[in-house]
Amino acid sequence: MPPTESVTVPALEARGVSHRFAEREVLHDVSLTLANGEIVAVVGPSGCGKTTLLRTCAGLLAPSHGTIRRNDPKVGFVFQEPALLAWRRVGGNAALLAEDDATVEQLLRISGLAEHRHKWPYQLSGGMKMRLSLVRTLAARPQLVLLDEPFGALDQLTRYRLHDEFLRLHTQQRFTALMVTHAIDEAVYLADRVVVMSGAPGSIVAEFVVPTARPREPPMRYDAAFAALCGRIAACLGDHP
Amino acid sequence: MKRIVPPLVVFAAIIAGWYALAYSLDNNFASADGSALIIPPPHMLFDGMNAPTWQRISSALTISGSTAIVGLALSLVIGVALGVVMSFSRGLESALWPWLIALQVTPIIVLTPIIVRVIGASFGARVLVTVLISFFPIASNTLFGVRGVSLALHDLFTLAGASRWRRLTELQLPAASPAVFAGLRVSAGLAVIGAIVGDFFFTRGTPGLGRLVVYFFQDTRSGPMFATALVAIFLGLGFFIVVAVLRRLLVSPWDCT
Repeated sequence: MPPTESVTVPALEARGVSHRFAEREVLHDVSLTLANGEIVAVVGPSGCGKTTLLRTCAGLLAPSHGTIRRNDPKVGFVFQEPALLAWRRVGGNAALLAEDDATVEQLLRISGLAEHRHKWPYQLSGGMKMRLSLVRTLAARPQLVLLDEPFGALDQLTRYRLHDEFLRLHTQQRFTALMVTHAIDEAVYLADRVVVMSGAPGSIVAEFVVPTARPREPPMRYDAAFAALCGRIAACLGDHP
Repeated sequence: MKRIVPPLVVFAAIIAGWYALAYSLDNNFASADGSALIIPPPHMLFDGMNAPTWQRISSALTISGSTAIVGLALSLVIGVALGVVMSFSRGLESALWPWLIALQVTPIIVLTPIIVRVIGASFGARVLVTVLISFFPIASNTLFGVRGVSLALHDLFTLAGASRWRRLTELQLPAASPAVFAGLRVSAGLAVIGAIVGDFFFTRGTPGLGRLVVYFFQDTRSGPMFATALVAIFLGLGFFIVVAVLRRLLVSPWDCT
């Protein structure tokens, strides 16, 4: 009998992914691997193909070239907009993709939405809507979560609050996350690695490891090392408009 | 109060104008018994009305009302089905849409005699006239409502591995329902118009409101004609209110637009 080899399959592996919309190439030769439980943030200028990368990783778009492999077919996606079903109450939206009620209940409680379960989406604030969108995604217990600028439309205070909530949920569920964002500080605060993409056609030009251990706390934002890393990423983005 | 007073002011102005018109027309009260010949003033509206006349109006209301109800219900089913089917395929939409527009712009009054000639002056023919005039707003609004669902919501259902049926019933139709109700509101008025206008051509059997108003028009007394017209107005208003109540129950709680 051959010796059994223990191989850890990455949660997501993109190899040489390129994508064209008609004549326009939006992604060029992107390769990216995410280990289980890892959070990776992608930053880059507008129109560099970040959303296209997420959609190909989710299987919503077949890449023109290259391959995408996931170790679990179940993928959670958090969109730029909350994308809630207006005709379902908070509880109904949270349970839309869920497999069991207990997870929904737990997530609603953790996110502070339990007391709002009977409200309609239009009765929620922007931050609450985004929180509900996150809860709905995580209630399906996906191994891989893709987030497309999920906090982009929120004010800074709400964003900071949701960052910590997101990290709390990550600690609890240990999902793998690939997140697209415009905010460098958000990327550094949340991610284990920050990937920088160039302008169109988007390709990966640099990768930064965030050395801060988890759990992360808000004081990290005022750390000199945090500011220095944000500065280096900003400089890199400036070099690749 | 702000919502009640303006319509009441307009109502008072209409009544005042009505009186002014009734008393300014020459020979309006020249009949032997003093009843109005052309336009009865509001307080004399029901002069000359008797039990048999009310009975005739009541029978006509039953016929026109049931025609409009059945016609509108069928229009809802056909309109939503057509809208959904067209939303599935641009090819189907481009094949059907010009014909739907052609049907919509054809005055129903020229189609009615053809329908009566082909399928006879039956209840089914009355309903067909009503459906033809009233299904289009529902079909077009359903089409645009279903098409208007955001890409993100579609992606959500795709990632959930939703079947086409689940996508339709849990996403597209609920999302389109405010638009469907907007179409239904227009169609409700059209269904009553269809039931009454189509009735002009149904010369056999118990008359509906359309034929009855023509009958009273040819009569010398104005009261029954106005009473019939008033009943027709209330029939249309009743349809409008029922649709508004249904919308308030089914859509308004979550649709804040």
